[in-house]
Amino acid sequence: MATREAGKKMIMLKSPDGMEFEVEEAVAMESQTIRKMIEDDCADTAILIPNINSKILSRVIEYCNKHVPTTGATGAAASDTVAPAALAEDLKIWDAEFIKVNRATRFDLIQAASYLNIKGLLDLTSQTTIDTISDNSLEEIRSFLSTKNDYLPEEEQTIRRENQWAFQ
Amino acid sequence: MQTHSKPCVSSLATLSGLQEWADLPDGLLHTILPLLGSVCDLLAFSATCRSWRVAFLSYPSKSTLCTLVPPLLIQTNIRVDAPHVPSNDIHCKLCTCKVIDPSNQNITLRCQIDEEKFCFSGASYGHLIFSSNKSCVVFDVFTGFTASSPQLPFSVGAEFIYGALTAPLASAISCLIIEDGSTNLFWHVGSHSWVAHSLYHGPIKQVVVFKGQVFGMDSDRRLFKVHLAPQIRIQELPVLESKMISRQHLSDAWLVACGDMLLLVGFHRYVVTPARTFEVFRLDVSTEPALWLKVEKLENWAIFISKDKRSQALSCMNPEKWGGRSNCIYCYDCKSKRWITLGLGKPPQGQNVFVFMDCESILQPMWVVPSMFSLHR
Repeated sequence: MATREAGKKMIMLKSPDGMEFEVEEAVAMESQTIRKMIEDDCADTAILIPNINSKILSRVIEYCNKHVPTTGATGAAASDTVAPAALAEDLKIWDAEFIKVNRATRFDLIQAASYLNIKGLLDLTSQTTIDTISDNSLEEIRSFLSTKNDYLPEEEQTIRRENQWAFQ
Repeated sequence: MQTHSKPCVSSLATLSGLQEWADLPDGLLHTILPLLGSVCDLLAFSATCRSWRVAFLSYPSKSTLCTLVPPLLIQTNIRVDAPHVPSNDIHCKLCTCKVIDPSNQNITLRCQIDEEKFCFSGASYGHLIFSSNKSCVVFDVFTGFTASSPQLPFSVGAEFIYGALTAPLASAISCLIIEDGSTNLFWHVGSHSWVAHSLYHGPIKQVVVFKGQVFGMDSDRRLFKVHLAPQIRIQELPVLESKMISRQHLSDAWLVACGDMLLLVGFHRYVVTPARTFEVFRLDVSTEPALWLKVEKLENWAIFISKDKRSQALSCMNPEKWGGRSNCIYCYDCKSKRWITLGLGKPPQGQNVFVFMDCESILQPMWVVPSMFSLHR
């Protein structure tokens, strides 16, 4: 987690399970939802994030820390001497590692990204979902997402018939 | 997420806890949808569960859903063995054709066509339109759903009919428009009769739906707005006359809905320089009369033109997403019997391509988007 530094405005994010995370305002503002709140002057120094537990919130903060567009104080890898292209490549590798999580965590992350409106994280989690769908059979997709098949048998039959040409 | 409406409350709004991927809100699913890169992926998405299907069908910009992924090429000249897809018309004899997805050429799809009884007259929204001198049959090339029109009010020369739908058969606003050389006939799908409509200069030879409005073009490239309700009304849209789009200059022309642009894609049959096989114009309605402006670059769009000129011309956004090329016309090369891409304003890569447009009673290779992608809810 970020630590307090001189001249940097800090903000406290609270998860519903009582954990507190002190982050730089700039990091918190990676979330458009929080940004709007801060810009509208509706935020105190602490903000309760009701839907996101501490485990997911800490991962989201980790992501924002890495992606906040400032030099320094953004994690160990960033350095002033790194070229933008190399930095982008580094971020890509970091993202790929970051998203190597189980299905349940991914589900929580995509919801958190949507709820907090963090575009980069939403793109990343959406893309991972897409990779699950691409080139997999319906059964594989359903089992991978552990989505319940809520179609009535006759509806399922109609869908299968209509898409028979493509699902084989 | 409407936190800003409550002043100085330092808590974000609460959402009810979601347990399942099926519970993801439509808004979130709508951000995932456009990332999918093929027809099959979109179909799988829509079939996964009920709520995902709803999200698919309620995608806010339906006209863009069918431009997110490349259309499929039906190779009507390549037959494959496959069990028959059931059809609601038990009397038709179907044959199965090879279908190619440009985004995944390793998989072979198939569709079934019935070409015994009737002459091919056009293709739109995943349907083939066939006609005889008595009536028309519309056939969903993938689901097998068939609709037969009432008897035509007078006998027509079936081989030269042009037919187009304004929406898929399953849509409430579907209307079949045909042209027999002198008159336009309209059939509101499901109704019991045709409505005839004649224009002073001759019938509409081509139909396109752009931003929910039906447009038509006659053989002299005049542009019309076609109103289907409460009664058929065809109104000319004044466009400054231009030699650039005249029949002397462009032997064939298609109207193509391409995002926010209504395009006229022209083809030189007697091509002198290969780079000028196709030319593209954009309708500029900011002036009166409107103008066809030459388009030098299609930017992030690709256009798909079928071999039979009566098949609906299609467009696709960001083709790089699935490994395609933007600023290109995808068409069929009769020599190599496969699809090729022609860069707009560039000579074709690899010589000896032979692009030829025709209009025949038998089926020609064509680009289609499954009907489901154009269903409006």
